[in-house]
Formats: sequence, C-alpha cells, structure tokens
Amino acid sequence: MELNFKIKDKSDKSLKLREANLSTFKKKGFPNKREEDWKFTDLEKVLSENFKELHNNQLDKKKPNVQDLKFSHNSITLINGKLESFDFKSENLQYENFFKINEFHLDQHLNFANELKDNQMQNLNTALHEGGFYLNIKSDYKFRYPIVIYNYFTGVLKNKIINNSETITMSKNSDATIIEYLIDESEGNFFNNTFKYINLEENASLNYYFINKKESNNFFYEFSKVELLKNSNFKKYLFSSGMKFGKFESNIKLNGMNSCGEVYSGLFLGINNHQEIKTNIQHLKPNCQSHQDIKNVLASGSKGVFQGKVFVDSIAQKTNAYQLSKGLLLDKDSEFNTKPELEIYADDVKCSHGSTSGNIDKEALFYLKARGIKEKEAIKIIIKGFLESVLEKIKDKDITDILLNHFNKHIKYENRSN
Amino acid sequence: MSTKVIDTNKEYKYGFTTDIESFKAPKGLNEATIKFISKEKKEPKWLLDWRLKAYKRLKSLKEPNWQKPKYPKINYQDLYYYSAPKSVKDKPKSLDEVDPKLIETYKKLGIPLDEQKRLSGVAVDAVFDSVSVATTFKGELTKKGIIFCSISEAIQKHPDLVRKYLGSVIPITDHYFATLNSAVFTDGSFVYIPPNVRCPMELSTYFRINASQTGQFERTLIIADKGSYVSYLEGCTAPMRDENQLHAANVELVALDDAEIKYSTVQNWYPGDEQGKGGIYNFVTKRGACRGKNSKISWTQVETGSAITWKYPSCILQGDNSVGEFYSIAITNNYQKADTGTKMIHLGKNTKSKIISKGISAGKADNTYRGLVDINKKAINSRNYTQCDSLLMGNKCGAHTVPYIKNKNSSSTIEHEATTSKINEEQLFYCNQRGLNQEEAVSLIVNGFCKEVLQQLPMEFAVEAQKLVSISLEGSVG
Repeated sequence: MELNFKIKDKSDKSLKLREANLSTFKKKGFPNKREEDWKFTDLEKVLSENFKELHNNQLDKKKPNVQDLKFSHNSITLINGKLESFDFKSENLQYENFFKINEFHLDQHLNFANELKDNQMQNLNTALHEGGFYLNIKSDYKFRYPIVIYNYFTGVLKNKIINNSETITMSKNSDATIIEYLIDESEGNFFNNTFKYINLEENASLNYYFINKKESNNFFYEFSKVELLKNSNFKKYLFSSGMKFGKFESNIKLNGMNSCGEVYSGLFLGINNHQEIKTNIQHLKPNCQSHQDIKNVLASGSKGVFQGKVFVDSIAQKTNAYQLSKGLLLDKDSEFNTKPELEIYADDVKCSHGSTSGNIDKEALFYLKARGIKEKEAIKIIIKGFLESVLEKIKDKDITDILLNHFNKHIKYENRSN
Repeated sequence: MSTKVIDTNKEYKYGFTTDIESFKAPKGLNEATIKFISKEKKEPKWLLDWRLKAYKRLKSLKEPNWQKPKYPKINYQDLYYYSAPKSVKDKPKSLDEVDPKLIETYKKLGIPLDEQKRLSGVAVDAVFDSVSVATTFKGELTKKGIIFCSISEAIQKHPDLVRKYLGSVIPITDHYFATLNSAVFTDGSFVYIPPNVRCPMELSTYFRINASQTGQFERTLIIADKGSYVSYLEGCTAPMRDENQLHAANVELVALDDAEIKYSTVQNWYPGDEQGKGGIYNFVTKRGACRGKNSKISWTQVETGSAITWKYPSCILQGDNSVGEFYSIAITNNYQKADTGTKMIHLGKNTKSKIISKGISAGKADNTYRGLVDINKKAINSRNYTQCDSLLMGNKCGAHTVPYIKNKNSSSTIEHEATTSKINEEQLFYCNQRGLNQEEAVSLIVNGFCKEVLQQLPMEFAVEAQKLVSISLEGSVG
C-alpha cells in the first residue's frame, strides 16, 4: 500500500505540529495485531488488502441527496467530514445565547490530543486534520429536541483518507441528545479516521446515538474520549447495519463522584463485515457507575470483536460496573472474539461481566415453530428480540421508532446452512 | 468492617534449610553447563542434542514482558543449574541408606515416605533439589505395568517412551522459560499408565527447593495410554531465604483415546516476607494434550505461595469428544503477585471445557486471571463454560480478569462470567453474631467461596488445602 500523505497548507500555524505528528506516524505505521489493542483487528492488514494507495488530496464537494428524519430536530450537516451547515430553528430560540458551534480547527483540540499522543491514529489525525465541528452547550441549557448530525460521504472518494474530529462540551446542568446519522453514498473506497472529544461538566447529561443508514462498503475508525465530572451522565448507543470495516473505541473517564457512563450496542453484521467495539471505562472517583451491553448478530462470514475494559482506581469505592457481551453466530464462517477485562484496585465494589456466544437457541426456535411460525420468520423474531433488548432503556419514542424501523430493514436472514 | 490489628509475625511453617553439602555444577548458562548436566545424568546423545538445540533456540528468544507482575531482571549467568545433595551420588538402595537429614526434612514436611505412610496409600517420588531420592510403592505399581519414576530413570530405562513424548506437548520452540527448561532440566517425574489400567492410588510428588541460588528446572511427563486413568498430586513447600529463586518447570500431559488424567497441585512456596522481600518466582509451563477420542484432562490448583506465580495450565483438546477442566484457587497476600489462568484450545469435534477460577487478593497483592478459550472452525458442537470470581480484601490490593474468548464457529457455545467484590458484610455479621471472631468468620466465608474448587481435590489434599487457605489469609483481615 502506497501512502501519499502530504501536508498541503504550508502557511498553517500548526505546520510544525502537523509535521512532527506525521513523522511519528510514519515511524509507527498503521497498528497491527502485534499491538494488544489491535489483537483481533489487524488494521495494517485490512487496509493493505483493500487499498493500493491512500492519499489525503482535496476533492471536489458533491451535494448529497438530503435525507431528512421525520420528527422535530435540530441538525448539523457534515459532508466528507467537514462542517457544511447547521439548523437550530426547531429550538425556536436565539441559539447563540445557549450554545456555540463553529468549524473545528486543529489548534482547538491540542489539549485533548496531547493526552493521546502515543496513539498513532491520533498522530495521523492531527497531521492530516481536515475539519469537523466544535459545539459548546452553555450552562443550564436543556435541549428540547435532539440534534441530528447528518454525516454524509459523497462523490468519488477513491483511496481517500479523511481525518476529522469533533469536540462537544456540555457545561454545567446542560442536557442534550445527539444522533449521528451516517449516510454513505460515495463511490470508491475511503478510510475515515475520526476523533471525538466529549466533556461533561457537573450535572450535565448527554445521550449519543450512532446509526448508519445503510450498509457501507467503507472503512471507519472512531476514537471517543469522554470525560465526566460530578453527577454527570453519558450514554452512548451504537447501532450499525454493517460496514466493511469499523472500529469504535470509547475511552470514558468517570472523573467526578456519582457520574455514570453507559455503552449500548446492537449490531447486525453482514457479508465479510469486520466490526470492533472497544471500551475502556475508568472509574477514578467513588460512587460511579458504568453499564455496558453489547449485542452482535454475525452472519455471512462476518467478524465481530468486543474488547471491554473496566478499570477501578483504589479510591473509587462503591463502584458499580456491569458489562455484558453477546454474540449470535448464524453461520459457520462467522466469528465472535471478545476480551472483557477487569482491572480493580478498590475492594468495596461490585464489578461483573458476562460474555456468551453461540447459535440460535434450538428450544426457542422449536417453541416458535410449534406455534405455526415458519422457520425463517421464527429466526427473524429471535434475532429481533436479541437486538431489541438493547433498546429497552431508551425513553425517547422517536428514537426507538427509528431504531425499530432500522432493525426491521436490516435483518435480512437468508440461507441457513444447517 | 472494624479495624483489627493482628499479629502478622507468623513464621512461615516450612521455612527452614537443611544443612546438606550440595554438589553443584559451575554457575552460568552455557553449552558446557548443559553438557555437564547431561554427562552427570548419563544421558544418551539424542537428549544432549535435543538440549543443545533448545539452548540454541533460547539464545534467539527474548524474555516475555506482557505479564502483569514485573520482576527484577534475572541474571541467568549467576545461577547454578545443577545441584544434587552429595549423599545421593551413590544411589541409595533403601531408605536406610538415605541421608537421615533428608528423611528428617521430609518428616517435617509430613511427606509419607516410610512405613506409616503406606497406610495412607500414597506412592511418593520425592525430589530433593534435583535428584530423586527414593520412590515407594514401586512394586505394586509395577505389577500393573505402571511406570512411575524420576525422569532421569525413565531416560535410562524407557528411552523409547521418553523420546516419543518428551517435547511433544511443549516443544523446544516454545516460549522463553519453557525453552530454558528444555535446555537445562535436571529431574522430575515420569508416569506411564498402560492401556486399560486404572491407577490404584494417587501418585504424588513433593518438590522442594533447597540449595541456595539453584533454579529448579523440573520436567514432568505423564502419559495415559488408551482407556487408562491416573490422578497425580503435586505439592510444594520451600525454605525461608532472602534471595529470589527462579522455578521454571515444564509439565507435559498426554491423554490417548478414552484416557483420563487428573492433575492436582498445592503450591505453598515461600512467598517472601511482609515487606515483599524474597520469595520464589514460579514461572511454570503446564500443558496437556487430549490427543485421543473421549479423553479428559483436569487441572486443579491451589496457589498460595511464591512471590510471583505466573502459569497457565492448558488443555489442547485435539481428540473428538475430549474434555478439559481447570479449577483454580489463587490466594495472594502482602506483596505477592499472581498471574494465572488457563488456555482451552478446542480443535476436535464435540469438545467441552470448563473453567472455575477463584482469586483472592489481600494486603498489597495483585491477582490476575488471564485465560484463553479458542474454539476453532472445525471444533463443531463444542462448549465452554467459564466462571472467574475475585475477592478483594482491602483497598491496596488488586484483582484483574483478562479473558480472551474466540468463537470461530456457529455450532459452538461459550459462556463466560466474572465477578469482583469484597466479602459480604451481611455474611460476616451473621458469623460474628454467632460468636465467630472476625478471622474465623473470614476463613469460613473464604472456604465457602473456594468450595467448588476444593471439592475437586483428592481427600489427602483437600484437608491440607483448606488449612492453607486460612493460613494464607491470616493477618489480612482489617
């Protein structure tokens, strides 16, 4: 694989920083399975098998086919990783008083980036950073409607690498729901390397949903660094209808008492998909909670990976951490690999994890068939039930509806081999 | 929980050194040392070549460093690789000829070596440092065709068997410490159970590290031929001393069609003092191959000693319908560190494995369960069940769980669960209320926590192990 990474704008004030990061990246290269964090996902191999070349040339923008979700919401539109427009009319307020949004520049994320300087994907992201957005929600503002991020990929993106980032700061007592809606209508294959920096101040609350509209043939890596202060609450939901390659890392620091971090996921992976969810939840203060529930349905030779870590510092007493990962393997070529890890230094804690993988429960199938449901339909019901258990905690009906609809569309179950 | 000061100056029960002049090879790891060991043990040429091949390989390997417990660099050139108590040089014919000091050592350890032990039905192959001293019950075992002797003896008397199986489970191309063992192993046990024989007694070996600055490199090889059964016990105690000692043993098990091997370990080596000074480095490679159909290998371990315990008794489930089991209790106190677990590699059809691991961490200790369950594409209809529970006592210790779970086919099922918590206050209160003091209550609860594993041990061991569990945690209740 040929890497044509060039820093174009020589007048950029961050030129030195970019150059330093690019040379660090070049020294390390793309991560491979010899690195513990990439043990089950050899990015170097995946990319070199699928790309003859990777470049960061600027390409002409192409207008996307607008896909509007049918409920009241605010919106932020990204095209190929860059901020295109935003619309907060639904909120019906002079929004500038309540939050700030702008195109995100490299120098704005230095503070965050510095902490991750050993991560070569971050080095790459900094070196070739193209854009993204910065959103600051001011104190005490509670959004009435969710914010939908329309994340479009359009035009010919052959061999393109897109490095972007987003920063979300939730000030004291603020509350928001964000839905990232990924729509890939591009031609040619690209690799998106994105970093998200999310901060929640005291009593803030953020629900973050990720949904990709339809199966994508492209390659995505996402790293989210989330820091929570006292009494704040962060929930992340990942729903994917499959992508050729995806790795979603969430690094959640519970850095204030009574804070709570949750990660939920329901994935249905299709032909030769490879998707990994990696979490690292760090309990650094007492009385914090974390909850993880990961459900993967694996069909047609797909590979699902879950690496989940819970770290409990010695001062983080009264921690409650729970983690569950389940893989439903539908055919013999599919694979589910997990590494649920606990690293605990405090004694007054309740930490547990469970992990299972296997085929459809024969008894459940028999039960449904005995009631006159055809096998194909019965399997679909079981898969739906398996995935929908993740939705139980979602209170917003609009969102539950989109997700149910999403599951209905994407559970395509065919040709059961045995 | 109320804070209670308990006298922590409990002496290590087995902390003593027997004053016997040792016969040593010169210090240092080189070809000359290996040739010396081989010559001293009158080994055939093929074995010397095998050792030298391993040594050549070793030179290209690096010590692993991914494990949780870190240890100071070991100077392999500063170790003695061979030491035999001198009095053993002219092989004793009976117990009377054995150095009385040795006998006394074993008596202190409670090893059933003489007549009274016959009643307990245990045959013992005792390894004092590196050379086997005496073996009992040989006659009865010989009648059944069972071979139970030191590996050096087996090399002389049964070279074909040794040559066929040695290194077939742990090859000389394995990891650093296993390869080191292959190059310089001195002694260990050899067991062969002929087809369709059920070994009438528990076979047992007590290892004992005695000579100062001697790394012990035992090699154990157990072969259960078709349709046979054997239960093997391994127990360890070590004298008190300040220097860290390296112990890198290799244990290989081979189970052929319909055979079953049960391997139990109670490890109570010197863990170092309350300040974390001294103690044994226990870096052991244990691996069993369920080679035949319907074979079964079951590992049970109670790990309470050693400054660092670093081992993963594993099962390679090659034969169809084969079964692998792993039951473990790992207790760490003071500055002890344990990184232990198992690997279950499912290759054959309908293979089953079960893992029950109980980790208890107290004082400033670190306890890690690290395991791998790997169900291959061809291992259809396989099953694994894993349960890892950790108990923490105090906020200066750590308990970690690092399972790797790989399922590569849809007809197999894997279930894994793990919990970490402290001793239930309500249970403690209940016990206290009924007149048990804090320490007794903790001991009772911990023994209950470990019960699933303790049950797997043969009778002789179960009693000792229960006591060990309580002793290991003395002084940790606060």
